[in-house]
Amino acid sequence: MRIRLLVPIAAVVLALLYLVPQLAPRPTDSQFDLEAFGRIPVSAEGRIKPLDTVARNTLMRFGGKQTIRDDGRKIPAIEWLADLLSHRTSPANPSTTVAASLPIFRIDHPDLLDLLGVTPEQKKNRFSFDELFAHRDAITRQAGLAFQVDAKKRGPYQRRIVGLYDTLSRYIALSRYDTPYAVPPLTANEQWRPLGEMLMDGSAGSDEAAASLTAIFNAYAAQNSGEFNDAVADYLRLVRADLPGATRKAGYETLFNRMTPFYHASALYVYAFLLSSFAFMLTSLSKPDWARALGRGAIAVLVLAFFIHTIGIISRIYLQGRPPVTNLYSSAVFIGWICVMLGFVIEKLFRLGIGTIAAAAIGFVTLVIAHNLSSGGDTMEMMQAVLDSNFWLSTHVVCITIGYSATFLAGFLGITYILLGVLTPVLKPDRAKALARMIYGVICFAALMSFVGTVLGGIWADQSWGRFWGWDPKENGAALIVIWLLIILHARWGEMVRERGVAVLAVAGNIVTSWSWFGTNMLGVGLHSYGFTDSAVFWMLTFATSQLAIMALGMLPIALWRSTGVRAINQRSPTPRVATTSA
Amino acid sequence: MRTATLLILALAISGCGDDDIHSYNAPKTPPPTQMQTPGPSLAATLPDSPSDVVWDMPDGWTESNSDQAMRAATFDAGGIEVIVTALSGPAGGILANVNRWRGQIGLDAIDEASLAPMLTHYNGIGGDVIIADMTGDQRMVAAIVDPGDGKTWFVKATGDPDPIGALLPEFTLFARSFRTEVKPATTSSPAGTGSEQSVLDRLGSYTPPDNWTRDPNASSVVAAAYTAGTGARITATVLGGQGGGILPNINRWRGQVGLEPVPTLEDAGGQDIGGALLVNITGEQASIVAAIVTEGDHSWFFKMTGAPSEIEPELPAFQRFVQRVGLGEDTP
Amino acid sequence: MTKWLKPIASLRFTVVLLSLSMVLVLAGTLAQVNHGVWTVVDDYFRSPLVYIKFQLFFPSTIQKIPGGILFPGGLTLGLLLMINLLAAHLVRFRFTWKRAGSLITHFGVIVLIIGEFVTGVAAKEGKMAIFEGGSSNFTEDNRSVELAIIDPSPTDHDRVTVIPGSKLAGARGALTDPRLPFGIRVEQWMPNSQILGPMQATPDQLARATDGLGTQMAATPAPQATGVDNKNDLPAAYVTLLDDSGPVGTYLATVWFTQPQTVTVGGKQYYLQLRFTRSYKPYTIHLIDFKHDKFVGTEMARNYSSLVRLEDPSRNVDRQVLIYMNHPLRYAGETFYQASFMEGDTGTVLQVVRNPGWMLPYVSCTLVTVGMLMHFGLRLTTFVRRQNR
Repeated sequence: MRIRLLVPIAAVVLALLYLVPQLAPRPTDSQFDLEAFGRIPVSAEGRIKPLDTVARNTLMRFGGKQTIRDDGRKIPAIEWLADLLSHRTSPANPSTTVAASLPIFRIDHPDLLDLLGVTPEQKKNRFSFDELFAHRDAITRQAGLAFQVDAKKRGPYQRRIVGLYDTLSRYIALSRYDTPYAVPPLTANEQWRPLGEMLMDGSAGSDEAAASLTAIFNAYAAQNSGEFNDAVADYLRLVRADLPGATRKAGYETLFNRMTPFYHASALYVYAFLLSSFAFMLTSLSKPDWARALGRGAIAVLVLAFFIHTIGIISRIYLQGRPPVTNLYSSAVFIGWICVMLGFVIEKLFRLGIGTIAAAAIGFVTLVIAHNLSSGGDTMEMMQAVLDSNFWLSTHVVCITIGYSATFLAGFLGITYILLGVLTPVLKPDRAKALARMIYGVICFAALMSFVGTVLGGIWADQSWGRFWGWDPKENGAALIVIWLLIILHARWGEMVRERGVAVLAVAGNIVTSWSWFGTNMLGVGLHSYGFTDSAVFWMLTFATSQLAIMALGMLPIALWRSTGVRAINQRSPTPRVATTSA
Repeated sequence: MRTATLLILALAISGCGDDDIHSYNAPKTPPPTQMQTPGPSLAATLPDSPSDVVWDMPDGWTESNSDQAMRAATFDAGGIEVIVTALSGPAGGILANVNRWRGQIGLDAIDEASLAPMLTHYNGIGGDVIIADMTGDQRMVAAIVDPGDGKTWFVKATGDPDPIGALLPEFTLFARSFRTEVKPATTSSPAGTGSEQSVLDRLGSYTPPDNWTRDPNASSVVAAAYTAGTGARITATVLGGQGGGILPNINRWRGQVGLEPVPTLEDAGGQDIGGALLVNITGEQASIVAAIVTEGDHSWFFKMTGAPSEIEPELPAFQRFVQRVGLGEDTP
Repeated sequence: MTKWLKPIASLRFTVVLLSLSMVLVLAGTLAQVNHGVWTVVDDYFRSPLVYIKFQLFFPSTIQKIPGGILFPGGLTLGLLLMINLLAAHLVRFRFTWKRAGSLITHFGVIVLIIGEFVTGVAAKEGKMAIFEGGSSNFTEDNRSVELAIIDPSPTDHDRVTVIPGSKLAGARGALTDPRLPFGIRVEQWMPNSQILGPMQATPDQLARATDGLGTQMAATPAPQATGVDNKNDLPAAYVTLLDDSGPVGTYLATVWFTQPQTVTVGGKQYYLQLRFTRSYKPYTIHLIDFKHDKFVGTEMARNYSSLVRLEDPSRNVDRQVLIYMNHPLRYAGETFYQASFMEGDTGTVLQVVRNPGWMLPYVSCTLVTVGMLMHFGLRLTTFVRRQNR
């Protein structure tokens, strides 16, 4: 009796022991109130965001990380931004600034390294602005050549040199205060303005906000912490008075950046996955009490992870003012969220522990995918005019994403069926049947949501530009998912496939869905022009191959499957044909 | 099955009946006007490139607006129209273009062999400059410039032999000044460390001598520009890093006034004015006086250009300008 | 009858057709990398057969693969799916509540297929480009051109005779159709062209035309646009006008010229222009104001809107309307969408669509959704009931 309660509590306590210290504010030995500095709202890429976001996104773009390692110390992004914007002179080398001498840029391509005069033996892939700027003539010349070529036809080297030029331009624009637009509209009829322009035309002196910002930078350059902190506090007071909403949101976004809810959620998903897999193993080893207790522990941790995941999504909705799915990044986060929810439902219905495993695994994987999608910059970017409709975003896009989630879930369950069935003896008849019913149910749900989502997309297109169906790659991708799910259902109803067949086809659904989700986006970039060098294409092909391998495994003759339970069901002789439309 | 296929075919054929010649009544449209330019905004435009090609516009030239789609810039040089165009890549090659120009002034085409003696090669700052001076119905000077941005730039002026001849030196200097510039790095910080002011600050609060007038239309690279009463032109420009180095810049300026480059700084001559090197480069028809001041991770270029007679009287004022704004000294 | 109807009605056939459809959709997607969507739609989805090259499925840089396969196109597969569906219901006809869901769903699918067919055959799309302060009373289809011969002699209208570009492209010898006011001989037809200004064209090229703008500017052929990136072909043609006594002059007619050229044939004045195929409307749209708001500090569009005045004397209509993204104007059986704009925000480009079959997809989708909900809903309840035992 006791383990029923103790184990889950212990599991949650362990989770909290990890979580709480992560979320607590970090003690800092710095006298500079960089946290407040980070909360300063600015307008960048059309969105009002805190300097903290600008700092993190910029460093991510330049070097793939949100911190810099220098002399063993980890420099947070906002400190780097403060160095950059204040042009603080480097104590080690007075002819340059601190910011320009930090190795923030990451360059891996061998031809680019060649251009910069780096030999392979040096094993150097991080560069400072000064180091890159020294080669600017060569970079400009190469980039100039590359720009002549149509963007879609550029080779890998050309794309990268263009990217490098763009990166350097971005850095320069930041240090010249051309971006972000830091000066807020404190009176009516004003817009956010770039500080750089105001400094050049001399109007900075007479603008309260611009002067205040300048004071902040000066104080930091002089390394005067008292002045800096006062200037920051003054400035925030100034902006809060006229733009309370923007300031509040910027403050919350800074907190959100620091909390990294999705990172912690994914860690907890891993934990839940381990617990639930272990629990499943114990069931097969006939230790029902412990298995059940661990299972409950897994569910408890899963609930905690789901809760954090949800807070993350709600925060994004609040910060963006939009429905949860607006770009590729948020679609990945949302797919994970839906799958976890569906996993809970399945667990409630079947109580086999498989629902929990699926939820935890998919939750983790999708958040990892999301993280990899966040390296391009602001994940809360603005949307183009055509897509700017909260109604359609919350109906069509959400539906389609739920359709993706369900198809992926069915695919995962199919993988489970095949792997457990072929490689282990644990898939007893009742379990096999339950799992098969799970797959079937989820596919039905997926078919409905995918179809409705696709239709809503058509209606949106019709309302937007008069064409219900345009046969463009994205639309076709969605259609492929619907057709594939229909094939599975009709094949099952026509008794062309049985449970094993459905499982195999469900796994194929993963390939179809990943094509629709990612593949269609890659077409425009010239899938034909470079083949396998782009990492996204590489991962997609690897994934597709892995799924095909599992499908091949699943096609092994039933007699070879280790789980005898599966055999019984899949080798039943066909029922005499009475009603052939549906089983 | 067969009937179905026939049905499909019939439908398909009927569906794609081509439109044929037909007539209809349409509302009256106004008659066409005489002037025409190649049409829709779909017309070819120069591809965007991030590297700005900049040039030094000689004094006395003014930029005029041209609505001709193919031109990059048009200048009025004392009544003569100087046209600048750019085309991607090699743009047909030298021979083809020279023959095209020859055709435009009524001369016959020439072959590759006769081409060489017709051309003069120069070193421009950005790259090679080839100038052709041809006389037919009119006299035409044309330059083919490769400033290194992947495009070929053409500069052309046509007119009567004497005015064109007088224009030729300026024209040559202009063509040789074509170069690509990366957008300059930081302007100086809003204030330097401690209580020091930056060059930009001092520039902003600088009061020029009475006979210097501020030029509001400085190009994007120039932070400030003045015209002295004598006609000399004074500019202050900022570029990132070392701006290419002192000696290369000196040689660039020497090229601009028609002098050969020098191998070392010592040969360049120059006066140390306490923190910056002031060089006076005098050519036959044009002179440049310049100083480079390094500030942090960028460099300021202070330059005065004009005819020797225009520059001479302004030398002390220019030196004071450099010292006060560039070096922050409290000179009277 | 049931004997050969059974295989047509079988689920096996459905699965086969659906699988073929998947291959077609995938091929039709990959084909759009190198060809414009309209070409692909016509070739793959609106035709009975299509030749699919194997190379389509492999990047050409990796391996060149020759050959292809003749594959059923959208028309064929759509028709067969409909037949399969109808046959299935004839053979396995069951009007029970259990089957109601799937009956409704399948009926909806039939409507959808018919709807796409009707759209393919009957829908007409065009663009209306208007400068701010200007107006337009016609739409243009920039996927096809016509040579327009305008006779301005009638007092209150112009008499326009058009020759479709396709006819010019295939013309052999002189076109002396009785419908034409004069004969035309196509000296050279260029499906896509580039224009050379007076400074770039050689005297030879400028001598190809005896009159009109072709003496100042010349056209040379350019490789045809694939339609990707929304670039279309800009055709040009050198045409010789013929009257009873023989050739009257050779002109360069091209879409590059935004205005017609005046020509005189047989003592009469005409205007000649090669232009995108036009469709005149009985109403006029005036553009009062075009707004293009961008997000601060970016070039990304926040919204576009066109404030227009719709003037239709034939229906006594004169009112102002605001057309913006996701908010079209519906008038006279046509719908006007905010599609795009002219460079420099100087004008707007509206997409004008007439689709008599527009309602069919909506009907179909409602039917299918309702049917699916019924079908799956029923199963879900039995399912849950069984689980909770």
